[in-house]
Amino acid sequence: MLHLPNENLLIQKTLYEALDKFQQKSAVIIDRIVTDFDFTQFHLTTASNPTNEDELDESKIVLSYRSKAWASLLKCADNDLNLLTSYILQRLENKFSLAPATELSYDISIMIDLNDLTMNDIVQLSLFKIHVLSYPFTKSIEEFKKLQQQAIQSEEERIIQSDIIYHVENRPNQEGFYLNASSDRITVIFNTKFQDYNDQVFGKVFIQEFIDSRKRNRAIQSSPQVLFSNTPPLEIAKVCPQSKANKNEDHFITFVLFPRHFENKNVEFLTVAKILQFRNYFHYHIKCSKAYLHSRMRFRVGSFLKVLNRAKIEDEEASNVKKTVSGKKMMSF
Amino acid sequence: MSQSLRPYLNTVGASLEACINLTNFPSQEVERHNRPEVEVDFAKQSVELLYKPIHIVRNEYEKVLIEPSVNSMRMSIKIKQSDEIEKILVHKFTNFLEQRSEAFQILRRKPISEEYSISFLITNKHTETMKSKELVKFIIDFMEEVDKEISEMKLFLNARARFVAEQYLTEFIY
Amino acid sequence: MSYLNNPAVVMDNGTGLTKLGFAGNDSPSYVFPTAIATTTGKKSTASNNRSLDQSMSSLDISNNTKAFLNSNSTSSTNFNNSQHSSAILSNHLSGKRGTEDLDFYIGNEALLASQSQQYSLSYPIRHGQVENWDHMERFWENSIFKYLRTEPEDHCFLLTEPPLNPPENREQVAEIFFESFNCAGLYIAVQAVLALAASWSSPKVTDRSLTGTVIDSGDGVTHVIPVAEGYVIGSAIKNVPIAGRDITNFIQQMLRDRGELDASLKTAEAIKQEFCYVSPDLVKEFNKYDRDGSKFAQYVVENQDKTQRKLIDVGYERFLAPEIFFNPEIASSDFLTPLPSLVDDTIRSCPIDVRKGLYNNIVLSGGSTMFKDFGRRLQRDVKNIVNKRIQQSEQVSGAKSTGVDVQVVSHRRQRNAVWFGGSLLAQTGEFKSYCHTKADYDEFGPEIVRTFSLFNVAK
Repeated sequence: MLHLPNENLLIQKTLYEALDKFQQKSAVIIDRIVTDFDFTQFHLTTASNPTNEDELDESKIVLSYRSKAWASLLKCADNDLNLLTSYILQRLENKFSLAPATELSYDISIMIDLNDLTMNDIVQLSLFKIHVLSYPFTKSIEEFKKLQQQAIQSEEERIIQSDIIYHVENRPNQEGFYLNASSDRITVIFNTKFQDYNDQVFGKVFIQEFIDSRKRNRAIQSSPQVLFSNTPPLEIAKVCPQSKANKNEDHFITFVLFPRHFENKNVEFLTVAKILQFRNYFHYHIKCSKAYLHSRMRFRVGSFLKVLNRAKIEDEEASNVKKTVSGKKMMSF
Repeated sequence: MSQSLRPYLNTVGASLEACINLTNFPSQEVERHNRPEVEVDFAKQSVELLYKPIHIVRNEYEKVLIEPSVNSMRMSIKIKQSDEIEKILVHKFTNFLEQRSEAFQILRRKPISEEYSISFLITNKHTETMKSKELVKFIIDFMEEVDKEISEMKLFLNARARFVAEQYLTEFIY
Repeated sequence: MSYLNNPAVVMDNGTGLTKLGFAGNDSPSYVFPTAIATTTGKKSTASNNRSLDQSMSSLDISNNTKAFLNSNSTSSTNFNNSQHSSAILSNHLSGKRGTEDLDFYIGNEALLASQSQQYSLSYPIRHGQVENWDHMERFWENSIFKYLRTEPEDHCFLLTEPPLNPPENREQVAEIFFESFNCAGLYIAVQAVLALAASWSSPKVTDRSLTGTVIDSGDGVTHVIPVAEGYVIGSAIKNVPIAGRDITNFIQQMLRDRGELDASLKTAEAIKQEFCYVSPDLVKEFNKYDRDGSKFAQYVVENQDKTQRKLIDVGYERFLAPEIFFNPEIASSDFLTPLPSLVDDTIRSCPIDVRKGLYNNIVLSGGSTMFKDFGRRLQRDVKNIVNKRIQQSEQVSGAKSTGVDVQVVSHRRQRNAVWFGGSLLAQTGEFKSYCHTKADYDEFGPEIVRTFSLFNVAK
């Protein structure tokens, strides 16, 4: 597997099976925990009957979502919960409504009605995390469009940079990403950290290639520009305090998105989904290469042992052992 | 193979062959014990049983220390590690091998000091069950292959990083 | 501390099937074959490639339409909508040198992929133990990132191992999980112990003890494993070479002998799961069937597009097939010890202090113990053996025995008992304190996983 799929397979599977059972009139009660990257957790449960709390309504499923990023997403929405939830519902084509009560310790709960759940809905729901996290991106793109207009209207040719910086902290230790729009681009800056020193070194190799490959390979010239630094880039210097302890700990990776990366809804979705997966993709491949190194080393151990075994003096007895045609050992006395 | 490697390996090989002449020698200190004299605590060592250690140095990154004694010899290798990545790879690889030292018999679970990457301990027991010439061959082969393996792993890492990065960015080409 | 709220990941990698899921769920999220399809390295030509893609996509489509009809839910993971299947097809990897290690599939997708020349299928676990670590490492990699979608750095993992797994294997597991995946915490539990923990969900169990005899019957082999206070009594473990596959084969043979229209393995498997049960008495059961025709059942086989239907009669095999556990001579000629006496033998080869506890808590685990009344029959038979012996010794010695209580516990989670037990233990608040962490590993090395403290079960 090279690319991590955008969809959450387990949500697809769970909903699909629930739908399937429901259509066969053998509805089952669902109570499942599903996770996703970056401290995201879903809870799919059969909804309780609105008229009678103790009974379950098997035609409805409540999907609850929580993630580390929620608090900072709210901040992006000026702490207006309604704004954020209505945005999410609208991303799901307004096909679902909020559950009467948000489940305890979750951030948002939506109601899924199995009576009119389509295959496309299931796919959309499996992209729930992306839909939620796309909020600051949508905002930034709006911002960009506004600035672009301003830039066209203003006489002098200059780039207007927005003052608004969206910050999403989706992992502990201030790991997350920043978004800043200007009149000709949107800058996405990731702050990623490595728990492990070895990973950090491996990570550097990877990051270097991210920076270089665009320069080297003409075919991908139109991809976002990638920059790297250990200190907060200028765009976010105001809002991102530099960690004092260890300079090398912070890794700021900047992606510069150009208008062509969000010129229409479809492209925009793909871009946002890809960008959101960057950290996961990056860390996934570091792990994959370590796994590959392991298999190389296992192979080496094998070949070294072969050489070493040549040194062994064969036992006296061993020379007496003859083998039959079928490979069985035959002892001669 | 670079020019100086062959003489380096030849020297190591010749020195090893000279040192691998081991005999059964019971401990002088403890009755009915038979211990590899090189491994004995420094304070309790019997000087007359130890021979002069040999340093073979190719450059600042690569060197070998051979410590012979009457019934055992210890050999430590510093594997070439010229940058951070090589350092990590060498560390990973030697750890991996040491984890399986049971199978290797002559491999020490830990190098003798931080200065070296990996150590071997050969006792008279080993030379009784294995051909000394082949043992030396194994060590030389090991030294050669390890260098090769480390640089191949490093190449792999770079190639993989490049591939991964390009593939990621390709996704943005619409 | 950051991973405090994330559910632990529970993985039970068996010889045949792997069960994956999150602690706190009552059943595994995924159950699929422990299989991996890796590239054969054959240079596939472009046309060859395309045909694989086509065959795969057509399979996906047929799955989609078919899946509405057959929902063998837990075992079907290959739910692929069109969008997803297109992602499978364009994995960008075929033919690219140096990336072979990323080009593989696991589980049901592996079975699918192995139909082409390009991939070869292998099963990394043999007889419960990992044989091919390269494959296993990649199997885990894909399980974690693709199926469970978790960042291992953020989760604790509970893995299972068979009884008598050598500690070196544990170290290898730790090496992979800590070095490759940097997992936050790792706990390796013995399958039999988890099966005991799973039995706590049964209303019959009043005290949550980790003493008991586990009968674990999967597809290939049946184990009888005595566990005393959380530790497996290795020397007393006994194996029965009769398990699910033999029952299926037995049914198939009966269908063939009768000349039924369809005697495929699949049909036999379906009959086994749907119709079989354990009878209290063979002779009486035969008589019942002869008197009452309604006991005979019919199984309908439909071909893929549902144009043809075949009716298969199901007769004595309903109770005869599971009977081979209790009377092995009807199916096998070389293994003749009935399961109840084997259980008795096992317990009698254990230290005397724990025997009562072992008789008192015989726990069933695995798919082949799911037959109706399996537990009841086993309990009766073992009880008979024990009582007979007590009677004899009372006659000989003249002293009155206090008696031995035999109890077989069956419960609803039997099929995935090991996984469920893991989920049960891993969702407790204390679980994380029992795990070895990455920091521990870095400090002490792989040897650290040789010991895990047992769960404190006193609640």
